Amino acid sequence: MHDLVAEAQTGSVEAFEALYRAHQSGIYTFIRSQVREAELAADLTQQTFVRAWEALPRLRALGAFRGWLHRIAANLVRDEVKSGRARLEVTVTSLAGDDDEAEIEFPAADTAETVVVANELRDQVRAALAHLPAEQRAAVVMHHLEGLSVTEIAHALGVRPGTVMSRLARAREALRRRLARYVEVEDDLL
Amino acid sequence: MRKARLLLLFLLLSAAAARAEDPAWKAVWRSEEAPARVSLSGRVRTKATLEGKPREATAEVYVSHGKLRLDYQAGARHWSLLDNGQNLIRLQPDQKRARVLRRPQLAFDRALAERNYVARRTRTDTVAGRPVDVIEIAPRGHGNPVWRLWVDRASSFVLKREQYNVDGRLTTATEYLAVDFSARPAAQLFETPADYTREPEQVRGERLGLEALVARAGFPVRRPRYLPPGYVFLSGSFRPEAREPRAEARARLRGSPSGPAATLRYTDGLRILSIVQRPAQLPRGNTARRGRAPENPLEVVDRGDEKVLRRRAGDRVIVVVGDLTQDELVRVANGVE
Amino acid sequence: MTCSELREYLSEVVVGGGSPWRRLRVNRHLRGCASCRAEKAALERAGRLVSRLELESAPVELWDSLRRHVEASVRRRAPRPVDRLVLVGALTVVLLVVGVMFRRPPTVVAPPIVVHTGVVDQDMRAAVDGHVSADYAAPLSDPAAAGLRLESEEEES
Repeated sequence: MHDLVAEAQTGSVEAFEALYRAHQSGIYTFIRSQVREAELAADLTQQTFVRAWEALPRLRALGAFRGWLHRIAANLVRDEVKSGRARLEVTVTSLAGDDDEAEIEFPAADTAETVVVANELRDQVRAALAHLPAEQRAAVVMHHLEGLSVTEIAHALGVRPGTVMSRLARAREALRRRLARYVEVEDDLL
Repeated sequence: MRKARLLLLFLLLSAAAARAEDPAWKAVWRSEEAPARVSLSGRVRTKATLEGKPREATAEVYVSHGKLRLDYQAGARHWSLLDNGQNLIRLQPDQKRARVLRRPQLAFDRALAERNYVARRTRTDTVAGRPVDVIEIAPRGHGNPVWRLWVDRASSFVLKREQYNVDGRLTTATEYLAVDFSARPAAQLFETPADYTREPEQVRGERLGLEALVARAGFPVRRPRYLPPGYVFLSGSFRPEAREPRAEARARLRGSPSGPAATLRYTDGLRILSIVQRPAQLPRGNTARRGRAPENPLEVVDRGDEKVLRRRAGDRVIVVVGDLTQDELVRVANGVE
Repeated sequence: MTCSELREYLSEVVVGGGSPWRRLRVNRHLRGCASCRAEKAALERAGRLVSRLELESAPVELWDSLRRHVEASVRRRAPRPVDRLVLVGALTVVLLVVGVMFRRPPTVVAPPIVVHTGVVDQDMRAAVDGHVSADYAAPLSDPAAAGLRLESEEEES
């Protein structure tokens, strides 16, 4: 990976393509977990790599490429949220039983809806992930799906490692509660 | 020209570095995170001015790693507030009732707050026998402090705080009279007692796009064309028509508002501005408490912590709530067309 | 360490945090407590379930669009009159600033204003309640004062 980054820094399109192929799914998954629209997620993913290409000659720590790339992505998502351009989607909430005041919440940046799935468990896990607050969800996606270290996540999100740990811990508690039916079993195949 | 570019770059980097390293802001954010790190028990006195009327209460406080419990006493009244990180729960011990209040999951941008406000350490002091640093937070470039925080040196926990509104009036103040950081409050303190009656909680349902929302709402949801400087979009919510005729009738009997309403919320990083829109025809159950139907073009209420402004604009009624001057409130409301 | 104390720290330890002393105390308690061991296992399973989710791929056409940009920038990396570009950029910024400064403010309609001493009806009450609820989540909010306000609102309504 170091070699690819160094080669891309000299202007090699082939090396940059290899970097893109290696990191696109991680970046896209992260952005998609923060921004509702698939089209917007794709657009932000492209912008991430465009900015990375333009800033690549200035990157000194070649080993930090992945975390650096995530930082670009996180900043783009944050700017999108701040500007209000992120499309507003709506979640309908209603009281169980008598719905006196059904209320629909639509946060500026919330998780993407699940893609079509065939497996109920995967549905439930994705739904549980979707219900996490955005900042916890970001840490979980980066850590569990992409394998970033706590330090890399902290750098990407501009927070302290302790804050990342705290978000991961709270997210884990919330996921455990939402997936209680699936985790309170003795089946250690899970 | 090259020198000018280098100078500009240097100034931008310095500004960015100064913001990131601002010790007063760092202390503020540490104090925001302190409740997640500490356990304590204590006693506070809290005061608030609501619509011109002063309110005061004392409360026993329990904090345990992000969870909070307050057992209030004001005269003969007792009530409790639980915050377990997911929900706010109001307990009424006399009736053994628990009401789950919405706890919005809103994401506030610290960089936005630092852009719009300046934090300053002013002096040291003592609260509940503990040394504290006093930090003032004021709008950047103009205005009197809006918050004063007395931050415990050892734990970064806020032991006293004062909040002032845009007109410079003190609106809320809370002070710890005693605090014990060695306390380990039991987990049961942050749970609703099993013998309490719980009101139903909200559950999530389907999701809609904005166009579908507007189609369901039956009225156009407009964004404001004017916002006070520094405010950006934060979140929104929509209340549809009650689905069942019985629920609608109950709402009318209670005098609760029924019928659709859409809310957009904006923030400058620390304060919130809410803009509620609904169709102009008032629901039948919406009785005026003081015998006056709200038909006037502009109505204003100064509640202390915030002001409320209502106006009718064509086919919609707009209600704006925020800690703004009356002029700014009017400008925002007039910009929602 | 009691079970309720352990539950405060368990998720932190499971995700890899906590001081060495805390981890020692937690592990010591777990050795003797089946119920807390079960809770730890549930937390760990929850993490494994999430880890099994697959990454999503970006649309396949994304690289084509990106490659065009990258290749165009490689071609553009030829010497160019930088000073002229900087001048044009600076002029654009100046024009934008002047435009913003002299922009006519939105027309303010001035109907009569009626000032009430308090919230007049449930319509306003609903708007205020939602706002106060959201304000609780804001930074620097005072939870003790918020509880006092909530109770006072209940009293008023």
